[in-house]
Order: sequence, then C-alpha cells, then structure tokens
Amino acid sequence: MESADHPLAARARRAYEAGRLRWALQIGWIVLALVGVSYVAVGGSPVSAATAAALLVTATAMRWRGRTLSAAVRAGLAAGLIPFTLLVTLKCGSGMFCALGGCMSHCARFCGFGGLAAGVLLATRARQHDDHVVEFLVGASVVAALTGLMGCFVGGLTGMAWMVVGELFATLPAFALELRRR
Amino acid sequence: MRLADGDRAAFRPVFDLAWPCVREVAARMMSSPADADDAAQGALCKLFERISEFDPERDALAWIVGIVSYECLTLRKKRTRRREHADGDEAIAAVADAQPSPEDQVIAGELEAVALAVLGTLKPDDRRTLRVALFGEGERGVAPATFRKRVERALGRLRAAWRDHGIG
Repeated sequence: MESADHPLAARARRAYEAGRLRWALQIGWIVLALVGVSYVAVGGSPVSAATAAALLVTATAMRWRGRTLSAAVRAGLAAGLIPFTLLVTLKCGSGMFCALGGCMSHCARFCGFGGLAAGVLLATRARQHDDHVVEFLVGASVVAALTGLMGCFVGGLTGMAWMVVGELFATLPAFALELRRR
Repeated sequence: MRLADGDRAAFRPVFDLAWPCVREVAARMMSSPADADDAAQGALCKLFERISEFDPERDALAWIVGIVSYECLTLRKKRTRRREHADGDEAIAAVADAQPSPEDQVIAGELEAVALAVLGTLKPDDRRTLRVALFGEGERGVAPATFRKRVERALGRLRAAWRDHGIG
C-alpha cells in the first residue's frame, strides 16, 4: 500500500482535474452544432448566442463536477432538443393560434408544448437517480431550458416563457413527489 | 469506474492501486531505473488525465498497461533521438576540428610563399628534377642512377636555399 501523502498524488490529482475539464469541454462541439443549426434555420441572434454561451458554461461545469450532474447534462440536452427541434423545423412564423377565448402565436404554442414534452421526459428519467432526484432534475431542467431556448428565441419573450412554464409544469410533480418522499 | 464518473472520493484508492502497477510495468520495460521512474510518473499522470474517457466495458488493467507501455515507448524513442542528436553534434564538431583554423591558414600561406621563393632560386633543371621526383610530373629522361644523383644534388641546393631564408 502506498503512503497517503505520496508526493506524486498531488500531481496526479491535478492531471485528473485537468483531464476532466478537457473532457467536459467536449460538450462544446454539441453546443456549436446547435448554434450552427439555429443560425442556418432561423438566423443569428444575440439572445441565441448568449443562451449558447450560458449552456456551454453550465454544461461544462456540470460535466466537470461529474456523477449525477454529468448524467443530468445528457438528459437535459436530449430533452431540450424537443422544443429546439420543434421551433427550428416548424418555422412557426407570425401566425396566431386561438382557443379557449385567448390567442397566442404559433411559436409560443410550440414552445409550450416542447417544454412540456421535455419536462415529461426529465421527470421519467429522474426515477433512475434514486438518491439524487432533486439534483438531477434541477441540473437537467436548466440544461434542457437553455437548449430549448436556443430554438424558442424565435417566439420572443412569450415563447421563451411558455417553454419554461411547460417544462416546469411537467417536472414540478416529480419534485413534489421527491420532497414528500424525504 | 467511479473516478471516471467524477467521484473524487475514489481518487486515493485508485491511486494506491494504480501506482505500484504502473511502476512495475515501467520497470520491466525500461533498462535504466531512472528512465523507468520518469516513464512511470509520466504514465500515471496521463492515466489520471484520461480516466474520464475510460470505457467501463474495457479491462482496466489492460487499459493501464496500454498507457504505461505507450509512455515507455515514447520515452525510449525520445532518449534514442537525443542520443543520435548528440552523436550528430559530436560528428559536426569533429569535422569542424578537421578544418584548418585561420591561424593554420596564415602559417600555411607564409610557408607556401617562402617555398615558392626558395624554389625560384633553384636552377630550372633542379626544379624540373624535383617535380619529377616528388610529384611524378614528366619523364626522368636519364638512367635511374643518374636521376638519383640529380635528385640528391637538387635537394642539397634546396636545403641550402632554405637555410639562406632562415628556415631549417
């Protein structure tokens, strides 16, 4: 057995953290691809760029930290792709959707539905992380929201808000269940 | 696997398990203990640097041995290259030493000038005899014994001329 204070241990630990950061930064390729798709499909925007930067920083930090948060990044990206893809592919334009005595733009509607679907997916996945459900849900929801917002920015503030509301609406029951279980 | 997933609590146990294994493999692959130590330390750092990319379906020991082997081979190549480089430098230095120095060139130039001056004082026959004897330029034209006598005479006059110029 080696000594607990082996002089090489500190060097190895630094190498481990550096390697972990380098590995975490690889998520940048996915973020870059999302930015590219968003730019080609709906044009460039400062909101999209700022969201992409926030997503890169958040996802890298979470992956570097590892464990549940690393899994949350994967799940969050997958879930966030639902609203992102919806908005990027459907080209909602400026049409309005009216129902139940109110109207909203198609973009906001798609964002809401996309957020809802993302939330349902995350709530389902959260069951796999028995001891860290809250940690997983918070991390994955943030990543999913940022990913979705890169597409939902075309719906303006209303679209972005509806996406977040939809996602929260679907994940809140899972949060509540977990808090009650504790 | 836990460390690859970001569980820092697993660092120390993995370090304590990996280091003796890394050192053992490096010691077997390297001829000098100092090189083995260098390779082992480098390999250990690389191992921890890449552990996040570790595929849990792979055999951990084989993965570790692969990294250490690669590090040892790289170090061996580096050492060989450095040795070859050093040998090349020595060869260049030897070639440089074989070249006459500026001082040697000055001395050689002065001796040549004196030699030409001395030769200039000899009779044309003596100069021709010496050229034939020393450099094989032209035919002897006489019997060998006679030629030998002429060479001795020409060399005697050359020595005298050298002495007259204060050399020899």
